[in-house]
Amino acid sequence: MKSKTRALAVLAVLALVLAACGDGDEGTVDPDDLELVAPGTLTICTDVPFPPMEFEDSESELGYDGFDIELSVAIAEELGLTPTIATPGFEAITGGLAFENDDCDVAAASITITEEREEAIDFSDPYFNSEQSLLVKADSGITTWEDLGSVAVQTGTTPEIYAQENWEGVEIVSFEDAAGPYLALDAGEVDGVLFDLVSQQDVANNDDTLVIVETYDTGEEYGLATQDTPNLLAAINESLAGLREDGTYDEILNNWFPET
Amino acid sequence: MYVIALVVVVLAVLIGDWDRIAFNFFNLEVMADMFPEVLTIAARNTLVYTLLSFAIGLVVALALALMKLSSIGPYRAFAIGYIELFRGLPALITLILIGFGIPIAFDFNMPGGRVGAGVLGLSIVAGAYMAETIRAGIEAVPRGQSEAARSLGMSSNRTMFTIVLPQAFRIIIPPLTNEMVLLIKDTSLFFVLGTTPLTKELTKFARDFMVEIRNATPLTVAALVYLAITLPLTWLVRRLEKRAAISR
Repeated sequence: MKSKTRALAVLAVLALVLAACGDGDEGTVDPDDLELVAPGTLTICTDVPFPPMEFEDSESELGYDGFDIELSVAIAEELGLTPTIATPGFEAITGGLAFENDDCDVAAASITITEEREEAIDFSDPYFNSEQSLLVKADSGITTWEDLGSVAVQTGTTPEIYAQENWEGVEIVSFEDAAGPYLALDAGEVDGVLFDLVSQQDVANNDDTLVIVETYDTGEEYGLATQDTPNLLAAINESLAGLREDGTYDEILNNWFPET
Repeated sequence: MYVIALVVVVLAVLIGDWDRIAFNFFNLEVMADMFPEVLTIAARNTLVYTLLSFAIGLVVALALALMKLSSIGPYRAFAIGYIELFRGLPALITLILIGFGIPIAFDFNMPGGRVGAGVLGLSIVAGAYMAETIRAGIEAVPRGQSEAARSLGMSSNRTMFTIVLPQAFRIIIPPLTNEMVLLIKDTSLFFVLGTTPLTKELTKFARDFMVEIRNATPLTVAALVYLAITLPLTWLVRRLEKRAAISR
């Protein structure tokens, strides 16, 4: 009973706020139906640092920059919403806790679409093809995963699952953050690092002593994520398609991946 | 005061959504899934890491305490520098510096690999904290004890090790237990150095389990296991203290 009255009160306030700013929206979708965490605002969850997809940038207006950020900001603009960024942690996002806590409307964190994750969160249409790659020291003589004694991965990521399923006999060492695997490689604790090619290319470009020796096309795709907000998801898919059509998507892609 | 406490508890009970809490934090199916690994791997690793770090840390601490009380200036300076440095740094940073910094800088890999590096890192931190405890303990032993020992013709080393230190340790058992309890929880920082399925300790084990099944119950189980380790430990020490008090 109590929660009902509270919900009603919230609804009433929401209606007032929305009515007050109702004239300004240009999006094709009615913002009343989007079930946003904060009215008029698209709260985008991401997990940094994962350059060039998402990283902190104090000079940027939102405090973050990268492919995912630019794309989701473009979507927010399509929907006539003000974008804002939140970082509740990758596991909270993929596990759905961040959505349950009302920390975000949508997550743009280079999340590979998996059946497992789909049980907790709802994915948009795929917006990015992701391969995985094996990075080793240039002087190690390693040319394929079969030469590896041990490999470093990040906990809970697709590369970890891939290595567990496909690389029998290789010791898999898991790290919480994305820097750990590279530190361990540098420290000689592991022979290689298995990671998404997008970020590993960035590493290899900046360090001559490291090379990418193999890539693995696992048919993986990144998706934006929502939870139990079908109208928002439909609106996001619609604007994604729109951005692809009008060339904005390619523009953003070229901005961050000049060679592809 | 009691009224306020009662109101808070009643409100918490009324407002909390107990079905969801039960499902997310006390899910029996999930709990069953965690056994026996939560004990045979996770709790075991936590205990092993703690005991090793505590043992090595204690030796380090004893050496530091004696150095700090030494009449030789450079010893004192070293002990003070060491203690201030490692007491002032977050244990997480020390672990990363030891675990990655040493191998990168000197091309030297710790025996025991990542676990070895983690144990060494925690020992270094624990040593800094316990050194101050031991020093205080030594200073708390009445001066008359060492004066009497010296006047019986004991050397100063023998006085320290057979007369002063045994009494000092009796005094500092409670603070040392405290340090051990802190250490048990600090082993949860080992994750920064990387883990394999067999080297996970309780917290990392529970977190990974939580992510895998998207339910927070593993954290509850880990919390209970931590308590199952620390509560008997503190109880044991309370008994030891009582006995020590009687025999004095």
